[in-house]
Amino acid sequence: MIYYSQIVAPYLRHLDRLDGPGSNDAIPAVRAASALLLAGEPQRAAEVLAGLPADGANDANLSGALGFIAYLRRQGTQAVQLLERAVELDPSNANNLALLAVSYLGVERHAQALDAFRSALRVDPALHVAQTLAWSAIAGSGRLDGALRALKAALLDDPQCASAPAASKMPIEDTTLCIVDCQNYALAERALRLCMAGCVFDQVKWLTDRPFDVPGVQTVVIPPVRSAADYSQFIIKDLLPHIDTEYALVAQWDGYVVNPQAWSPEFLLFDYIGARWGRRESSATDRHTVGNGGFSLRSRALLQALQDPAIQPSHPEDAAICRIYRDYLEDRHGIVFAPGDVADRFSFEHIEQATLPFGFHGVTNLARFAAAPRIRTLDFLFDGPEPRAGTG
Amino acid sequence: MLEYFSTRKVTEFAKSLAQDVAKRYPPAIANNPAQMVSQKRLSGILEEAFTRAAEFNRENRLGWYKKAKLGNEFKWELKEMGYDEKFIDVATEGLIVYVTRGPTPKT
Repeated sequence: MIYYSQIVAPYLRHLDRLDGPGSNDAIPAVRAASALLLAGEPQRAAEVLAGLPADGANDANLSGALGFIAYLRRQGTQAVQLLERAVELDPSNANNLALLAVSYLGVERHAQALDAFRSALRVDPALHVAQTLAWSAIAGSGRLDGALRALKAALLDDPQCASAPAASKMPIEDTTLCIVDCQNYALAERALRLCMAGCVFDQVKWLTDRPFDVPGVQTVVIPPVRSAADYSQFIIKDLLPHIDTEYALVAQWDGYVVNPQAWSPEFLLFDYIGARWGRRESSATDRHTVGNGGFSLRSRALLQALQDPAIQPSHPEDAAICRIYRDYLEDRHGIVFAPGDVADRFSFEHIEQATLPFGFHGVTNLARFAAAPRIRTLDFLFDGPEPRAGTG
Repeated sequence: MLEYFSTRKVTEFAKSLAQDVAKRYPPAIANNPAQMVSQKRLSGILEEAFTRAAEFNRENRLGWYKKAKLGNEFKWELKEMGYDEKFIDVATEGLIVYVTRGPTPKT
């Protein structure tokens, strides 16, 4: 069975919420057993579970919780059975639906996994683990390229977020919002508009290879940036002359502001902030976890430091800055990277946050923030385009 | 009565100044010796606060008593917010220098 650890934390939170007055008495025992299994004590976990009905006793919450135990024990088939029963008893429990989907994914039943993820998202479109792992099911069923095309098309049909009144927009002081994009023109423009819908920036620049007329946006024509490697080269070495403010907020078509109220002037205390990556201890530089460049705040001081000839551009640019050259930038240029807790309030990518950060990055998170329900539930992958209002 | 109101104005201004510093450079970060921040940004935050104080002084023609009160209220507000003594001393001293002598001319 393939084990996806991303489901563990949200399901534990679900168990914690169940563990209250009026809940099944067995839930605390399951919660305790889960902790023991995660601590590597299967024998003690088995002792705690010994007196419980193994079949879930026709209780949706208990069946789901025991399905979680089976999942933690890597017993994929048993997890599926218990969770199918839990979902049959209570089809409106998003956490059990998501865990069932992850269990299907674990035993490589991708089509059923995708169906279960969609069901979970119909109940709770903000369920991060369902939004992100659904794309693993899509990839597993060999539909990734088509799904990505469908997502891009659906986003362009999505009703744009209405702009907030100017007085209620969040002022982002001394910062240029910028996107470098010479390929996804319409989606880049959409991302700029969404950022500007709730925030006011000193300047907004779209660096691209042809002129566009977008209100409030200065388009700057640059030589075509056609590949990811070209993009990294540009961001590391060529962005500086285009930034007149002390900070640049670098966005992308799949990374933009989603919660303007989460902006904090504290973010400007650092030269670089991006969504935290998972920790990897495989090499010295991989211990650094901040962070993703697709939606990131960078100081002019950092852009200047990157002109150091000792810094060679490499792809991806965020890994080059934040892992390969981080120690050098800190020691030689006094560059300061945000700590993980500040980064978590700024943006997210793969790691779920308890409260919605200022922005996000990543294709797997895009559907969650769409206005149309059929996008949030991934239904756009299965039906035709929604008729536009007023087109008959 | 007029004196009372203008003293209150000084107190309110000192509080708003300290709150503005705290919004941009919260005590939780300032008091953490392991937490590095951009020194350029920190200098900018303090300089902006001091410049505002110098403008307030010019607009209100503060005498020595109200200048001292401004410094003292600012200091106590930072203390209330939980800043370390070292930061409080540096910030208060800077404020008093700006209010009494004006900003140091840039060379």
